Amino acid sequence: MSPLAPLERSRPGGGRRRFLSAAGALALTCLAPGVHAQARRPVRIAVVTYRGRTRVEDGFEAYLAARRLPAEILWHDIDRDKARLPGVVAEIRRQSPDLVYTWGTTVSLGVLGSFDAVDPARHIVDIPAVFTLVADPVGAGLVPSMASSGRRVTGVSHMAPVDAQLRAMRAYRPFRRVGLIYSPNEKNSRLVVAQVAELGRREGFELMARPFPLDDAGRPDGSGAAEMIEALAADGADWLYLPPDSYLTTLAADVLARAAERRLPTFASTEALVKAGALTGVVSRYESVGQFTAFKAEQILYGGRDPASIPVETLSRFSLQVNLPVARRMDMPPPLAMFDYAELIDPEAPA
Amino acid sequence: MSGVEMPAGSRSESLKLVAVALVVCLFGALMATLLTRAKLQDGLSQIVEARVLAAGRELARSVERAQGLGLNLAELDTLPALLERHREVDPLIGSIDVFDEAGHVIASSDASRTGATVPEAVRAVADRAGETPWSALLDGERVAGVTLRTGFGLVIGHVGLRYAEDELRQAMAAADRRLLPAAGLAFGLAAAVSVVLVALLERRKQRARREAVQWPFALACLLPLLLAMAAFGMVAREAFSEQLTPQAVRKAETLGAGVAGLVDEARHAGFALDRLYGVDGALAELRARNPEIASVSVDDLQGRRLYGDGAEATGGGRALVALHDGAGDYGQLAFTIDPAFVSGMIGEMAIDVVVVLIVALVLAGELVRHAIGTGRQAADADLMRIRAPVFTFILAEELTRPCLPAYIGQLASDGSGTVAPLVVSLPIALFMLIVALGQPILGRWSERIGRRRALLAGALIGAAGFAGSALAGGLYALIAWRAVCALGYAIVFSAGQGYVLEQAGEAGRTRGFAVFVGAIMAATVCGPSIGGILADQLGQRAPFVVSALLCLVALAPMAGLARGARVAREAGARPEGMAGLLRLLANRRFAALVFFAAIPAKILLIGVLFYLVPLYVGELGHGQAMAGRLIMLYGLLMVILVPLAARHGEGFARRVALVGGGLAAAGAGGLALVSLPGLAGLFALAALLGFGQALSISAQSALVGELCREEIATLGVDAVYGAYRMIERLGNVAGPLIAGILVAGGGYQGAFVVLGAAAVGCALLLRVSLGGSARALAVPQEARG
Repeated sequence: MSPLAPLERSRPGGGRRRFLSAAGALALTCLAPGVHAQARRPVRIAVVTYRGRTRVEDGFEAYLAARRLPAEILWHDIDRDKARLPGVVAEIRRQSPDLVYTWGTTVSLGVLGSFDAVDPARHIVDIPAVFTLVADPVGAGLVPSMASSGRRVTGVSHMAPVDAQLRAMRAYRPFRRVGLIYSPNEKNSRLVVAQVAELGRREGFELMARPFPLDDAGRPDGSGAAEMIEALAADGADWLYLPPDSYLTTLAADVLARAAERRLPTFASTEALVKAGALTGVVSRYESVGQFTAFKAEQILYGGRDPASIPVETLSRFSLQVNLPVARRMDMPPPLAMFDYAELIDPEAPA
Repeated sequence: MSGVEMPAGSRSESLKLVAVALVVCLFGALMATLLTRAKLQDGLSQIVEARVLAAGRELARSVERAQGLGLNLAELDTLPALLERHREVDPLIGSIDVFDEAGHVIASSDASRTGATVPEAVRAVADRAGETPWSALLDGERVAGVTLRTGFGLVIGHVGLRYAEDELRQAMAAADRRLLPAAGLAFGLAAAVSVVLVALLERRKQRARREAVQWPFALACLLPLLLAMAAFGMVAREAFSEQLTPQAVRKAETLGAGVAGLVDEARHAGFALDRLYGVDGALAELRARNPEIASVSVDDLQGRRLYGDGAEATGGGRALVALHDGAGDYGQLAFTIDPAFVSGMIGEMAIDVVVVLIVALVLAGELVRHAIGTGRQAADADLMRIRAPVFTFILAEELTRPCLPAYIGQLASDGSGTVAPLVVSLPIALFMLIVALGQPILGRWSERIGRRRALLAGALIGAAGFAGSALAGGLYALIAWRAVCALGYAIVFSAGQGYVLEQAGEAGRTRGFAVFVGAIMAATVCGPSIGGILADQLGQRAPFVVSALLCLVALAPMAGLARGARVAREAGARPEGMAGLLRLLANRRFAALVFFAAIPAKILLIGVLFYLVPLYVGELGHGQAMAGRLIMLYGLLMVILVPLAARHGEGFARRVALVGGGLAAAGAGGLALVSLPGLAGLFALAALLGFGQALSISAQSALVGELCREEIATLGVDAVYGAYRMIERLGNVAGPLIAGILVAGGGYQGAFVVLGAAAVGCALLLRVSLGGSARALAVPQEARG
């Protein structure tokens, strides 16, 4: 008899329901359509983005759709300009949605405030909120601990731990000197720089961190980025590490092209940076981040959970992405074992 | 003990000695064959499982990749085709199922199973496996599998690969055709040579009219056995090589297919075969995980070695895997198998073989002693006759020592989940409680009905208890049957002691107890190690079956015991019950000895060695044979050191030092365990426990006499010692319970530390509370001297 043969035929639907309770709804984006099929009043969710709609929102909406959770999304975007945040907050107050969704550290801090300096005049305090794509929520001051925000806020981080990133980097090619460029005005970049420096002290590699100069308004100036890359390469950097830096991401295509020319391998901390042409990186899939955020939104909106009781979490699995066109151009193939687990990105491949 | 005057021409003794030679050889032959077959089976199933899992991992990657792209398992139309494709990779694989966490089959290479539910046992194993591949045995067939996860790390299901063990069975049958005749020949010859040697020794002894000496007879039994084992080992090596090498080659081919897939992917990504990176490293890692592979290389079409790891070996088999794409072959992967890996497996059996030989040595000694010592005309033949049945009966209980905790856990858990440590400790504590409370009562009972009859009844009850334990269907049944075992144990123990006293009399008391304790110690050395091996190789219930049989075997020598008492015991020598006990405890120094030494030592012994160690060994991933070896090490040290310690333990101060030092050493074992990694810590623990107990055991007993002179004068020796043993045995009861609570609260390491530190603390308290009396007593003693 086969060991996997049925000992019992489950009643139609019986096994499925047990699976639901066992696995949690998250794994079942599509396994159990119809669970929430009954008509509902659509909930209203105010979504605030930094640089327009991303695949995080795709994942967010896809999860809600798959779970048959009707939602009306009220879109807001600050188009990389912090000055627009007060206007967005005022508009959200007028709309009075059921939930607020904030994208990235800058937007989340602007809309929700840091946990120890919430100002009801400037921040949303009376509407539950989920933040997403915040690299280091504790370091940024958004929450006092990952276990609970202590207020009506929860969220999702997308960053793989820095030491895991550097392990992947070392697996690709060993190094002694790591170059890094960042915007000194971005808190999450400064936090990552400090973590990499600490790892360097512990593991014995040299971190060559180069900040962008700031202009009179305190905004970073990337006009000299190409020269900074040249200098790092000339100083013997083995890798260029790209932190989760919003401003750097806007310049990434040029920076990365220059690095590739110099045969300086580049390691990305976000998927957007891999897409922009980094050689490799450990990233969360933006869709997965969005799905996870929607799972938390569902717990608040339909599960009746207090956001303060829902921990802030990061994904437990990350993708190691390799940009094959870049690897070919630089003649830097990933190590053989990496073909086993890496996600190979090859837009040039014949379909 | 051997210096007994023997008249010539004792035919029955000669026959007995021949029987001893045959029994020892039979024991060696059975154990060697059992161990060898088990090792081969183990090696074969590991290789086969590795092959199946290599295919399973490949499949899981494909499924996870598809799922990561946003497709879900139930929506993955291509899943059945994917499963079928992977099934065809290895003819070993019967079918592949993908099932969710509830055990619901989502897809299967066998379409009729979709929608079915996998058996609970398989689901539970898969559930517990976490990141590691799992395997389960069901209805004689194997299921191996890997867990599927989403990008968030949530389990979405499992891949289960069912594979027939036909190949394994065929290989085992082929090996048996070689091994069994060889075993028959080698051990048959050994038995014949032993018999001849024993006969020669007998004749010489009779001609010379000399005293019978044990050790030449023991050697006559053992030396041929040793040679037979060596010869059998050589045959086993050949058989292993014949069966394992082709399997290793097939496994290398499967592993090679995986590497070839990666190379192909790299080439497909646009990198030339000779421009790849990290290939040597990947091959080195492959070799590290599969030590039977001597070398592996990637060669191009011209046969040039582009990448590789390890030096080529000859004589161990080769595997070649072609590298090819749509345009044809472009290279190959070449593996050579290390012929020495077979020797390595044989070498891994060395410890078990040494254990078997030590047990054979003790067994031979014990049986020869029985054969010589119970000759009809021997002076104290009636006393010596007690040794064999006590040894056999105690051996039965000792067999189960390393296996009991795991067996309780298995029955309590019903095959799924883990069991609270305290639950496991309950049956052990109950056993100890029945023995502790039952002994005084049963001692009087056996005196009334006759020791011989009581012993026979005890052995029968024991046989029933072990048989019931072996067949127990659940925790409560096991507890009930263990209680029956405890009753049998208490009867045999107290009746055996009573028999010794009656046959030896007051004058021969010390020698009588030496006979009794000697039999128990020999059983402690032999039982646990063999029991552990039996449990590992034949299953958890096997030691209990053997124990039941041993109880029945013990009936024969019990029937031959003397019927009446040689020395009538004086009527007044009875424990006085509660009142006497309280009067004893009012003696503060006696109370200090009991509470700071006797009870802590027993808590440590039972709680640590018979409860924590077997569980912790399992926790570390070792079999029960390992637990058996550890308990055996304890027993060996006791056998060797107790007489030495007794010889050097004269005088009050020295005895206090021995008791305190012994307890502290035993306690240090608990601390050694946490400071040394893995098995080293466990061996240090068992050694220190044995060392510590050996130091203190005789001195502690002697101290009771010194501290309770007055009470002995009024209550009698038996009453005082009876009470002392009774209180001490309460430590046996408390040991597993305390250890169970500690494990539940602080994990294994915490429990070892707390028990060890508490023992060291008690040793210090003992030193403080008896240190003063040492001086006080020393003066009058010297004055008297």
